[in-house]
Formats: sequence, C-alpha cells, structure tokens
Amino acid sequence: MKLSTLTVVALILGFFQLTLLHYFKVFGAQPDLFLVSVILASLFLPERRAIIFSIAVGVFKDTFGLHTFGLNILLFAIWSFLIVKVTRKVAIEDNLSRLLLLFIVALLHNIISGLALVYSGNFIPAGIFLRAVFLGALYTGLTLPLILKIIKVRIV
Amino acid sequence: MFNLKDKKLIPFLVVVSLLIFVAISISILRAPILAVSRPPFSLFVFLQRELGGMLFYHHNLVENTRLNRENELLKYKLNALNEAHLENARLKKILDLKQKSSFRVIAARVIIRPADNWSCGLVIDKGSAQGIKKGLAVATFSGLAGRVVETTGSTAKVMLLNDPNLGVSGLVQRSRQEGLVCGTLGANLLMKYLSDNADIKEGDTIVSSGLNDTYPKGLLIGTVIDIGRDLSGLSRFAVVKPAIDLSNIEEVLVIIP
Repeated sequence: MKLSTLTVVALILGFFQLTLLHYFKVFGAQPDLFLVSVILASLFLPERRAIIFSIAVGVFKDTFGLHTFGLNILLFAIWSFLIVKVTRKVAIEDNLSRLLLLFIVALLHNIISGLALVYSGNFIPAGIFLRAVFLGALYTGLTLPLILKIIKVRIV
Repeated sequence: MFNLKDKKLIPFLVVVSLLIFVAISISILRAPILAVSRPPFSLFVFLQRELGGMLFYHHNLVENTRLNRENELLKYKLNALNEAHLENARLKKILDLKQKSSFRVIAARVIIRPADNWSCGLVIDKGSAQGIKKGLAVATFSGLAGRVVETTGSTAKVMLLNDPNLGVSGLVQRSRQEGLVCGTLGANLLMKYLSDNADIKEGDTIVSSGLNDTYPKGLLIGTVIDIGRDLSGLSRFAVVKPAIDLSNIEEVLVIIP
C-alpha cells in the first residue's frame, strides 16, 4: 500500500472518528480508528515510515484529546515499532491474524490508557473499566476486516 | 529480536527523548492543528444538519407545530414568572439583600467529539476570540454540561460532566445536602462524600451549589436514581442521572460570569 493511500485512509478514519463514530457506540464503547491506521501503517509500510506515520497519527489523536500529556504519541510509536519487528519474524498475511493482532494491541492500549487514568487519582467503576477495555478492543479489532475490504487490500 | 547494540543505543535514546518531548509539548501543537481543522469540521457539521433537516422534513414539521404550541404556553408562564421575579427583586431591595450577579452566555456549536473511550469531551466552534476562557462553565438549556478546559482563538475544548477528571460541587435541591458530583465515563454520575445521615433519596434533584465562581448556583445537574455505600463504609454515594443526554449534545451555552 502506498503512503499517500494510507494517509488518505487515515485522514478519513480520523475524520469519521471525530464526527460520526459516537452514533455507533455499543454499550458506551467505540472503536479506535486511529489505532487501526497505525496497524495498517505498521503492516504495509517500511519500518521508518511506519513509525513516523504512527507518531503523526498519535499527534493528531492527542490534539483532540482532553489530557495534557500525549500518551497516544508514545504508545502508537511503541506499537508500530513492535509490530514491524514481529512481522519480520512472523507472517501476518490473513485477515484473521491481522484482526487478532489488532485486538491484542487495542487491548494493551486500552489497559495502559485506563490504568493511567485510574492511577492519576480518578475513580472508574470496574464494570465501565472492563467494558471499555474488552469491548473497545473487540470492537476495534472487528472494524479491521471491514476497513480492509473497503480499501480493497487483497488477501494472499 | 529486540536486543540493542551499543552503537544503536544513543540514537534509540535520542528518539525516545524526542518522543517524550513531543508528548509533553502536545498542548503547544494543539492550537495550530485545531485552527487548521476547524473549517472542514464546521462545514461537515453544517452539511450534516442541513441534510438531516431535509431527510426528516415531516418529523421536523410535526415537531415544529408542537414546539410552537409549547412556546406559547411557556411565554405565558414566563410572563407570570417575570412578575414574580420583579416582586422578588423589590422585596430583596427592601430587605437590603445582596443581589445575585447576572451572567451572560455565548452559544456555540459542537464540531468535534472525543477520540477515545477514556475521556468525555467535545470541541466547540467558539474560542478566546469570542471571550471564552479556560474554566468557564458550559450548559445547555436543560442543565449543566461541563467546563472549558482549553481554548484556542476560534475553538474551545469542553470536558463533560461524565469525565472522571471533572468534579462539581452539587446540592440536593430539597434538603440542601452537599456532595461532590463526579463523572464515571458511563451514562450516570456519582455524588460522593455523603455522610451516613445525609438527607437524600431517590428522585431528588441535584443542582450546582455555587461554592466556587466557576459554576453559577442552581444549575440543574440531574436526578438521584440510586443510593449506595462506599467500599470503606465511611460514606455514602448517590448515582445521578444527568439532566441532559451528554452523548448527544449539539449546541451549548458557555456561561460568562
């Protein structure tokens, strides 16, 4: 996939995330389409470009966030770096593996974001925390095949 | 797979330091990015509203008729209340009581919504150029919505009541019992630090207490739907259903004291 195509896809996903996605909330959880962009970049771009792209997506996401520290910039760069390293050793070329990879990354991302919020002194009921962590990760994972189908990436 | 050689250690540390620097300085990057992204988001919201108006024409027509009727009734009630208000002001003047300061409001439209599951906020299309400052209260006609946490020239970021980082001093309208209303990321709010013998029950209305200057006194927050006890057993809490649907706000009023 070309960098220009991926940039357009990321911009559309970001725009959708910031405007219309709240209509598609399930039990208060919504997918993280910025993370989907990061995974796509890490899977289809060369290492350096993928990491820079992920940092840019992180900056874009944190710009519209409410928190003063840009946690997503750091996490997106780490996820991108790790995915690039992993895909050198393990072939991730079918939709199910990509979905699983995205689910695991989203799960870790949600756990870290949630714990950062809790450890900064905020109270979140356990039910809401677990719902945001697991349902959010699952929902994010399930959007990937749909997005790949829309942008017509052929599976080997 | 992940071991770093000594030669690569310095560039690696430089990259990590740069990343941390960018993450810390994100607030500096926000203003220009928000300024650039405001026009397309505003245009999108405008088109969305117009398209919605056309698609739901019949529904809007029926709604308009109903609201016109309601408007007439409210005008009648408002007139009666104005009389009571004037009488109240006269009596207060006679008693030499300090008048509550009046405030003005700025109407703004929501153009962007939060991008994750761990915060509740929105971005509005008015900013410091229109007189909006950090810390101002934000409401709708139905009740309190949140607080301005950041402004740029033409936009402002609002933290909603259901964000766990926001706490509002609340008051039970019936018994004048005070507590701290906090968000939980869910649909309901929590009113915390209620003593064991606090006079509060299901169905009570919660309003802002006006303890600090940020939130004017008497703004509707919500209704108590459940009461529970803290895990420590030292105090009780109340589950409050917000007066407004915090997930579907389209227009807000920024309150300037």
